[in-house]
Amino acid sequence: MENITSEKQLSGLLLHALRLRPVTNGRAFAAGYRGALERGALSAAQLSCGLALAEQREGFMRLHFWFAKGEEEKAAAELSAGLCPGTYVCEAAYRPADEAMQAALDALQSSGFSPVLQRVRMQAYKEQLLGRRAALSPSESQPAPKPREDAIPEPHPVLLQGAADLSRKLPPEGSCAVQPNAVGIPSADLQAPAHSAPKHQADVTNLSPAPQADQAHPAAIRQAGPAMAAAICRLFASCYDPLTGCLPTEEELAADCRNGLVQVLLRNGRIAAALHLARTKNILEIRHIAVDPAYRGQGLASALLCSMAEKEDFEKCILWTSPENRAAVALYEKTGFQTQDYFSKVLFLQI
Amino acid sequence: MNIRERVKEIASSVCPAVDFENEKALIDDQILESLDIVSIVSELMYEFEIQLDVEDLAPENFNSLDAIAELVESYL
Repeated sequence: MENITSEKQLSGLLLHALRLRPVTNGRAFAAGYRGALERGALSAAQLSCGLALAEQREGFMRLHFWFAKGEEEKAAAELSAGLCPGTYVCEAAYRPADEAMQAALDALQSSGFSPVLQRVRMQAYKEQLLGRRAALSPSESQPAPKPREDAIPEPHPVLLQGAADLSRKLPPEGSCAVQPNAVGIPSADLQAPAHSAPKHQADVTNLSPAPQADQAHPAAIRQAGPAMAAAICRLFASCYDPLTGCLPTEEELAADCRNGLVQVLLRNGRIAAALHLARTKNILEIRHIAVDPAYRGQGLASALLCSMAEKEDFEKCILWTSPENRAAVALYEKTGFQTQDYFSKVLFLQI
Repeated sequence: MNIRERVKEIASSVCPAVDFENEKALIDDQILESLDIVSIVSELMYEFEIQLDVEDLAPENFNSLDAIAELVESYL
């Protein structure tokens, strides 16, 4: 793989890939990789019938591919054979009728990638969310139902093996993991009350008395400032799988805080819950929503979603979530979201 | 069929649900997903036998049917 240092260099590679009439999970324009370019985190491999981009994230590489249609197997094999030792995650969105993308994903799996997660997109218009506010009470405290045993994905042995290295946590049994979106795209789930507090709970707040099970008062919801980015990142890191969670870096989250894209719900001076958004004009995307385990079961996620529906200016809101996370899907449906015929698959490879 | 009509036909074949005639912010409003854009651009290059320049691969050139048609015409 060669390091990519400029948008112009990247555009040249993308243009070359376009001539192949490719199937891709990548972004259409080099500008979409600006953040990675600025961090010096982007590398590329030109394939005989495609292109691969690798973005260095914390502990793994995020892969984007461009495969010439009809040559998916050849391209995937070449890609896989050319990768250096490391951990690779690749996510692609597809509609059921998208045969070329299915072929690309199948080819990657044949070349050694393992499927570890599937997501579905959910969508709601603002008026739908506002109309459902009455259905959500901040005092709602019923715990999320325990998912069926067969709804909990079998922890991938490779992921477990690497857990110590990456401080990665798969969703504990009985919880509903939040699965953010990754195809340019984010998503959010909720975690049911976990068995233990997040490892950095002490860092999240000043020392304070035990949290009170009080109401999620709207006044406690506010825009997060960049100084909160570190604490919010720790909250997200304790709630999301580091490989599939599309976690932002602290710098990325601080920038999003400055742009008014992060809301926090405070309790006793602590960040009890956080909502991380992305915006494209009048379309909002929920990238992450997380509740400190010490405050779960109090309707804090609902309160954040209600506040978002009331205060944010948008036409439509989307999110990606694991369809197996039934508690999260149930909450989103109750909030007004509906599932779409649009899915994504996350693939993993450890070399 | 003029260039604009051919471009519209190609774009509509990729994204039949999109109103290319009236949408003026195809990229800005995320009317088109990344894969849609890639498919449209690659089909245009194939159908018109044109090779775009690196500088042309920018969101503003694909934000509307008129912008796309203008780009294609500049190569013919």
